[in-house]
Amino acid sequence: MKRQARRTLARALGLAALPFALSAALAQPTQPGRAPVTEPEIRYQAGGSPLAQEDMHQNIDPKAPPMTKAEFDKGRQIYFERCAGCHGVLRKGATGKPLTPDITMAKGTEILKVFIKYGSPAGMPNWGTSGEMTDAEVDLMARYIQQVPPVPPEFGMPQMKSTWKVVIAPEKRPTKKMNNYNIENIFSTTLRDTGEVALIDGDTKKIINIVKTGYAVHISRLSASGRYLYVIGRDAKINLIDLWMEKPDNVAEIRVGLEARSVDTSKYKGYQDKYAIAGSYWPPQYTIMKGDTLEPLKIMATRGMTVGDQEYHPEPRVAAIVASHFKPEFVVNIKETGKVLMVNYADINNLNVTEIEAAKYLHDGGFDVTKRYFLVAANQSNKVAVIDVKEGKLVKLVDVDKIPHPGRGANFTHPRFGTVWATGHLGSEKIALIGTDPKKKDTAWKVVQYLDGQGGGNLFIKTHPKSKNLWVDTPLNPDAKIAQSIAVYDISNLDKKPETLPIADWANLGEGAKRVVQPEYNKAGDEVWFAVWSAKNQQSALVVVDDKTKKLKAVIKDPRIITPTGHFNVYNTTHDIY
Amino acid sequence: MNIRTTTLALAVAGGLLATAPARADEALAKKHNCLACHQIDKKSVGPAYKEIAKKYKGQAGIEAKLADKVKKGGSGVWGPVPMAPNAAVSDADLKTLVAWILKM
Repeated sequence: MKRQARRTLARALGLAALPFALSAALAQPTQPGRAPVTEPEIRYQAGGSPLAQEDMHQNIDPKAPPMTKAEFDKGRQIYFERCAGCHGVLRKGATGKPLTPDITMAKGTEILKVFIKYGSPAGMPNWGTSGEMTDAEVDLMARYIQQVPPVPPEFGMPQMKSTWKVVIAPEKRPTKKMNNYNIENIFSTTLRDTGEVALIDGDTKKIINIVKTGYAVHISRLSASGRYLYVIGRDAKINLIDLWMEKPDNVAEIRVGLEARSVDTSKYKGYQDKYAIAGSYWPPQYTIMKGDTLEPLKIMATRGMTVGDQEYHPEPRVAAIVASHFKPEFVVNIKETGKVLMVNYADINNLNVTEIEAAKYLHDGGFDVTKRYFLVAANQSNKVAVIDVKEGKLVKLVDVDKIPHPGRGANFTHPRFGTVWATGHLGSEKIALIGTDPKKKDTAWKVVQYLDGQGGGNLFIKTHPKSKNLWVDTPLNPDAKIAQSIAVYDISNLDKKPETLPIADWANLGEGAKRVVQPEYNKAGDEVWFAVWSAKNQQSALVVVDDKTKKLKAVIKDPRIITPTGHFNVYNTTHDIY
Repeated sequence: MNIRTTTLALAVAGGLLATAPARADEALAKKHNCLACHQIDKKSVGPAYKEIAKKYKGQAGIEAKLADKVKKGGSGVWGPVPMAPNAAVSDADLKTLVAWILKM
């Protein structure tokens, strides 16, 4: 009871802090010669972690500066909300430097305070001078990071089983579709701060159901048949939704850890709808489950050696997961070790895993148009790794611009270079087009062209086989005008400047952050949907644009649509069309 | 051994003698965490040592002033980011470090 109350309070505080953090970041003057790290990167990496609310084991080091329990708890809270994204749960370092006590105690409180308050040219944000931490908090954090890092609990089979619930058993579910919805054109939209997804009928633009899920659902994925929808929250809660029900709703749920990002399902012939897999940030592991009940079957740890320098890493987080169409395999990308694991699910008791060396810190990615090649961003190495999922090996590491963030990327045919896969960047305004036709020796797996976008802070980029447009968002750009609009490129003439469409203005919402996120096509490929994401206490909306005319087609507003972010069309997600 | 090889050998030895203490000083700077904020020829959190040398070299009594500044910390000269005080560094080490920086 008490713990629940504290959790709710902390969550409320975290939410209240978000709009303030954004406005503070906007007001902050740029310091000349400082931080190559950009605002979009800070916003992206320094997002909160659900671990802030977990009880953890703590060792005491008498040599560390003294702290009261209350101070320590506050430090831990701030650490997991601001710092863990880059420095890691155990402070072993990831995109940020390692902060283990041997390193931090040698530097001492005063030096650490300077770094926390003013930042550093290597990329540390200036938390003090940006107004996000008071001097007292800077001092607290300088002392906190000299303590032994507290360790969150493990989450194995007993914990998973205790959270596993089958709401409707498979034999009690419909044997055929019981509704009149055009299931293939349903959109699953994350309602970030309320811990829900909205299922929206793409034909009528009406809400079918609001389904309770984990907090800040990261992605939605479909089973191979398109019947089952899987969503995973940042708190590692997975919900299984049956789209055949009269009113589609939850039929099973489970937690696979304390923090997670990725889920997918078996797509290979003969294994359709059989297995689901989810990757966790904490504990560092992936879990294979029964596809129709989420019953956990097999948990695999990812702790191990890094690529290249071959040093032990205690918390390699699981980034993107996709399902191969060529073999009964999941493609599991491990962030800190920089390895891609081809996990063969043909015999999960005698699991066969092929480990492919790529580059550090793997993040997200998508297939090329043939689905044979998987392109994944190694975002701190500024590279895209190309994996041949048919042969199970690395084809190439392609150099791209600063901090690539493809989402799943976008595939189209370039008028001069043939088939390409495109990614935007968090750290720059560039859009990289990579040649994907292996027969074209001089353009295959090379950046054939960079397009200039509106600015850094891009998250998603999208086109459709039936479209001639490439849509690029910039929701994390500090300039409100850029964050609230979309750039559209004409694929038949990519040398032409893009058109910019003021999507947020079209939603006509009044005050708010109104970041425009994630272009997503309908099944027919003639409409593009956007989320206009405002704060929890402000109105948000979804905006539907006609692909051909680039004119507003519909605005979906509803008091239940609170903080919409990602959204996924059932047909395009089932068939990896992007 | 002819004269030419002898001179060469001496020159090589002389070069070694000149660089060995510089390396020792750099190790001292590292030991006292100076390099967490300073680099030799590039601005980092703090100013580059070469910039410091350029600004102060040749000024009367500067060695004592700088040693005092390293010990007590300060801010304002090179921008708003303050230098943390380093009270634990011995006077002898302070002297060595300041001399090393000013020679750059």
